[in-house]
Amino acid sequence: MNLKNNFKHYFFTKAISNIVAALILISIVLASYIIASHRIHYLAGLRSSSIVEAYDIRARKIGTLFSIVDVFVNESETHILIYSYGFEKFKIKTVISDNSTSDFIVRNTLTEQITESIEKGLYEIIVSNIPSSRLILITDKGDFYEIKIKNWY
Amino acid sequence: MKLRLRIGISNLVSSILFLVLLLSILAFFVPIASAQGKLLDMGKRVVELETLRSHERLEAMVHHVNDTAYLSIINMGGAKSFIDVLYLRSKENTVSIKKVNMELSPREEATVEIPELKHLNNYTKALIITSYGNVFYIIDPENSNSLNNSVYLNNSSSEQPLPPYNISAINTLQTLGVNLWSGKMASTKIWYRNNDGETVVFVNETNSKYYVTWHEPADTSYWENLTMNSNSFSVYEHLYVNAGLDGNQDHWYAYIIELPNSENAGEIIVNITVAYYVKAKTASDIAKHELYLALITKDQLQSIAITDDPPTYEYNIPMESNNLEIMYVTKTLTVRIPSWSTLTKYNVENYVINIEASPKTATTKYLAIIIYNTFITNAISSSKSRWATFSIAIQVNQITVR
Repeated sequence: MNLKNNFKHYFFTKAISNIVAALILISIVLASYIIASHRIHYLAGLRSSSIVEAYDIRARKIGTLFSIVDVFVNESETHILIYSYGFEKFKIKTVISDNSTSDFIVRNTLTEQITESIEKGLYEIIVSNIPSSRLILITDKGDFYEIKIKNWY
Repeated sequence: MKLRLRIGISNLVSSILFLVLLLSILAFFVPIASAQGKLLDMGKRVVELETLRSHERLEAMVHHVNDTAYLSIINMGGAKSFIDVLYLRSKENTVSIKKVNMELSPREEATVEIPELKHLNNYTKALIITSYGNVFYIIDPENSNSLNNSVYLNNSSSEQPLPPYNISAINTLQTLGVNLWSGKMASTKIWYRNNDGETVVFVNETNSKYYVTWHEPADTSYWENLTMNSNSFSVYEHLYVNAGLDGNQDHWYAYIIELPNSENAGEIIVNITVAYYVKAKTASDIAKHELYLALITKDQLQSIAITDDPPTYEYNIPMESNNLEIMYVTKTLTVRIPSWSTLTKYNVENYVINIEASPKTATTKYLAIIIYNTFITNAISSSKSRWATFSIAIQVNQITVR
């Protein structure tokens, strides 16, 4: 009888200790997760957003399309006519004339307004000098387009 | 019981851990998948656009008709084209932009009036730009020295025919009136039309006579309340045959209008207003007044041996054929005065006539408006003189050359 009571006590004690152990384990896991989640989410988010950003930049880049329509000089200025036909707006960030940066303005040819953002349509980039060999247009997407000059007409 | 409890707890722990792991993975990959989807979508749109762009091909031609410049654009490519702007750069390097906004399906052709192209030589560059970013040259001195690979050339020419165009003022075109006479009285002859308002009179020894007068613009005095504008002409003819005389008279009057840039034209649509007046006194005779529209070439026009000699003496110029050789002819009007009657028939009618130039030829075409007056007379009555008056006034409202 005593043996039976001891056996019962042994089993109940062991079961309770297992429950306690499991609860402690869950608590440790959850506590660790809660403590680490902020950092994990921050790092995962950072990694994720950098990949997302890379995809977005790539999408914006491939959606930026334009043709060079005409290039000519008038007095001391160079006029570059471009036609944007892509899906993304863009800006011309820098114009390099020969090997140095040049001042420029962008004009919408239909409204004749000076603008920064280039949408669908024909735009005139007026560069304040005349290159002898090449012009490079650099967009805000980081792309660059080179126009080689052979002769001026 | 203990075992079940342990299994339940272990399942709970693993489920929670699995959920935590799943949420972490989703939080990481969902934005990436979304961005990747956007990139793929953009890539697809760009590929579609570039495919359409590569299938686009336009040919453009500049025509000058009646001192007006027209730009004809033909879509020779395999994709629908949206022509956005016409770009013109003058010799002084000033830029002019004209919004065109034209949509052309494959093989479709359209013509627009571009007043700026009237003096084409003032421009060093004329380009058509489509919404797919293609640039097609009409004029380009640099095409052998292209500035950028993205700009490509087409086969345009500034001097090729042919636009579909309308002519609404014939008084600015080259016109020619021709009298073609055939009959017992005057044998077969051909003349330039007599001067405006000048009546040519033929009288022979036996009192047969006829009178012919041209007016340009038309003399409309035979019709009440009728006025015609400067794009009109009229021919009046009066024939008189004394009693006991016979002999048939066939008289053609051809008014010929040059159709500029009509090389390879396949169809001419003529809109005219015709006022006719026929009055005749007949015995055993018939008076007939007919109108034909015809298309002729310059060779055919020259083959009729036109002379401007005065008709007084040297009028008897033989013709190989009594008829104009023509590419196409269509009878438009017939008015007939039967035998043994004194009748007047008159009316004003409008006609729109399609003339097909078949086969197409690469020569300039001339529209001939031919008035054909016939007076078939018999000497059955020895006591009755017969006469006929034919007057016709024609206003050319519009000629469409396709």
